[in-house]
Amino acid sequence: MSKVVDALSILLVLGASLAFAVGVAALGERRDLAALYWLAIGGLVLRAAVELLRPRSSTR
Amino acid sequence: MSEPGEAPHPLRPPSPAFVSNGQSALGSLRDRANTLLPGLYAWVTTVLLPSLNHGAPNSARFTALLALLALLAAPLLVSARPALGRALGIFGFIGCSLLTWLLLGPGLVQNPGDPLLSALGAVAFTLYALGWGSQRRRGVVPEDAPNVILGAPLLPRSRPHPIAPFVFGLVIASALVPIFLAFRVAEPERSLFAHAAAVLAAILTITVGARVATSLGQRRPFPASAERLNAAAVPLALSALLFGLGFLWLVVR
Repeated sequence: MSKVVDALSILLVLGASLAFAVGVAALGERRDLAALYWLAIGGLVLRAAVELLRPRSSTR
Repeated sequence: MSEPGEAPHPLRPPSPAFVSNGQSALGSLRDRANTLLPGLYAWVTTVLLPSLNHGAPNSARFTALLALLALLAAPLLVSARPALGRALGIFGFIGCSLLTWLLLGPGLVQNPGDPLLSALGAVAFTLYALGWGSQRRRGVVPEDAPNVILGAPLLPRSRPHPIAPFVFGLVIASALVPIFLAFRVAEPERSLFAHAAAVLAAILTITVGARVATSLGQRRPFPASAERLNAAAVPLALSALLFGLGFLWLVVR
């Protein structure tokens, strides 16, 4: 199970990077709403990757 | 660690690699190729080409030449006079390049249709900066240095997973994608925001990616996998919600 979670965290980081890239590309195409959407997605997915690594103490 | 200039350890003779030797100019340039080559590329693409424009002032061309001289002189001096060599290589070269860009003003944008050249120049400047970091020479063992403190070696608490370097490399490569894409944004205002967002995204991605890579395969008694998934449930649920809203918007539109 731990390996699966490790693999999931790697996928989340790569997915976040992809979302950031799509957001920046959308910014260049004048699609501001889509850019903000993808940047927000990237931030949230990256946050999820962090939480997978070190959950907060309140959840323990 | 001992201070530079401190007397060598009496029990340990200095290693020949640490003794100052008279190197030829060609050998010095070859040894510093990791800084010289990216520096030359960065200078050509981002300093020389804009300075060769018809409207470029002579002062900008002069400072561009000074930047090149600083770049070439730094490897020659760094062995005999390290402080002066580093000052010329870092502050002299970067300072003269910066002065050239300031003197060029609006003429700096010499070829707006080729953002790839600008992006590669920025990467070359990054490699140049990394090249000036202290680096162990080939064949030199750090423990053979005359100023090393003798004692039992410190053992690492854990060994990294074999795939950790590949994961970290993949993360770095993926973090560079938004940086390159930001150069494709043509409008100045959007371009500034795109660059800021891309740099922030790259920093965040590399920070989290490094943590992921170093924590791979570690036997942690706590937290358990289920707790880790529970902790990530909120951001994952928000991501899924945003994905769903985006999909709905695509369908409705």
